[in-house]
Amino acid sequence: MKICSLFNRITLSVISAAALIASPVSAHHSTSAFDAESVVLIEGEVTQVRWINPHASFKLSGTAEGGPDGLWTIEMTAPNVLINQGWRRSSITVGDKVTVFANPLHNAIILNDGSQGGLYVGIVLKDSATLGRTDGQGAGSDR
Amino acid sequence: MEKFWPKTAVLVLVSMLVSTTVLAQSAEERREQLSRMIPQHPGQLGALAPENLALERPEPPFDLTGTWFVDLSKGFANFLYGPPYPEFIGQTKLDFEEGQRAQAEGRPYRDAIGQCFPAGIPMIMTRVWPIAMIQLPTAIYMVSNFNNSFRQIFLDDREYTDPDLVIYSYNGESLGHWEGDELVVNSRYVETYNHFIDRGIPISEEFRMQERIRLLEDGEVLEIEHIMTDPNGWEGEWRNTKSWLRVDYTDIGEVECLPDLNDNLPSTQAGQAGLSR
Repeated sequence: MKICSLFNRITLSVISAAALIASPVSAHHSTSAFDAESVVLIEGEVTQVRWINPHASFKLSGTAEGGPDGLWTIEMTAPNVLINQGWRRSSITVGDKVTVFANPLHNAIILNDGSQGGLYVGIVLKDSATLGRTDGQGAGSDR
Repeated sequence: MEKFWPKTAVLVLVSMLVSTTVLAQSAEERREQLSRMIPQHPGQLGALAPENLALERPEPPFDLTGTWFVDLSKGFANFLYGPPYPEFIGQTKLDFEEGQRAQAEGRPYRDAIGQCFPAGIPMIMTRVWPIAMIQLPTAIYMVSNFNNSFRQIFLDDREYTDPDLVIYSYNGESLGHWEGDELVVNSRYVETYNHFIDRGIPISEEFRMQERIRLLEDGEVLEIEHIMTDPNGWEGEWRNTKSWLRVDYTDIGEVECLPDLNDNLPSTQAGQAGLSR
């Protein structure tokens, strides 16, 4: 993202600082497994969506910038919190082409299904609408 | 055909006799028949028994009935019960230090809740989910939205269950009584298996928790001072005061920790270190 003015630069810094202050410590379980300092960009096709408490999640298969290509499992917070952020049950469905921003695991363990793991930060939906942070920065929230 | 009818008639008669016998059993007799399957506490009425509810008792100073959300407005880390921490001893001290190191290194440690173990007291009280509370004269029922964890506090002057008969649980057995404008709740018999406070701090079977509960700001704020002791884990009392905000514009929903939940949650697969197996 190209920042054109000093104002924007300052605004972004303030937002980033606020996001860091508010970043998750732990909710239902610790999110310390994720590297809140880095964001992976994954472009791919949604292969599974779980819209259920206590955690929503989805999987997508595609190419990644800042991480390995292939299948990714994206952990999210609870749907009742995501709804407050603009998410809906129908926001993504299997087969959608999306771009996802996620904090990767510190230790890139291979998950049970062979996927990489990430914590949801933001997404560009198939209709180009965005949810969450899509500027390549920020820490995902597990609450 | 001639031989068929007498046999059929006998069968019908026997069936009718059996049915009549079963139907003739009173509710009391049927309860007795099932008694081995129903938990018993002789001499103590259930908290929902109409006779127990109807007993004359002093008017309680407040009613907790409502939906509450832990007040984390001063910082998300307030869901933790320290710092300050007590002086940990023995293995608990080592475990605490390991938890602190893991946190500093951004490494999960004893993420039991992430593995679907119940949060248990005190942590269930500060999950980032609403808690529904219903207060009756004989008991307070709490259901956390988080995994619908159930907690009950008996107010009917009962004694603790016999230690040889009690079944330990993650929220323990809680008995409450009123002291002035406070509700004082004492809990014991708390399950210890993969039950941790904050970041991996274990408890022993000698863990006890007292909660001193007050209602403030015209009933909008619930305050609980927690006083926790465990002679196997720390010196003296571990004290911490938390607040909850009334959020009666919402309801709690259904939440379960499913067997395959962790297949979809990378952090939980990475967070198993230090659990007992």
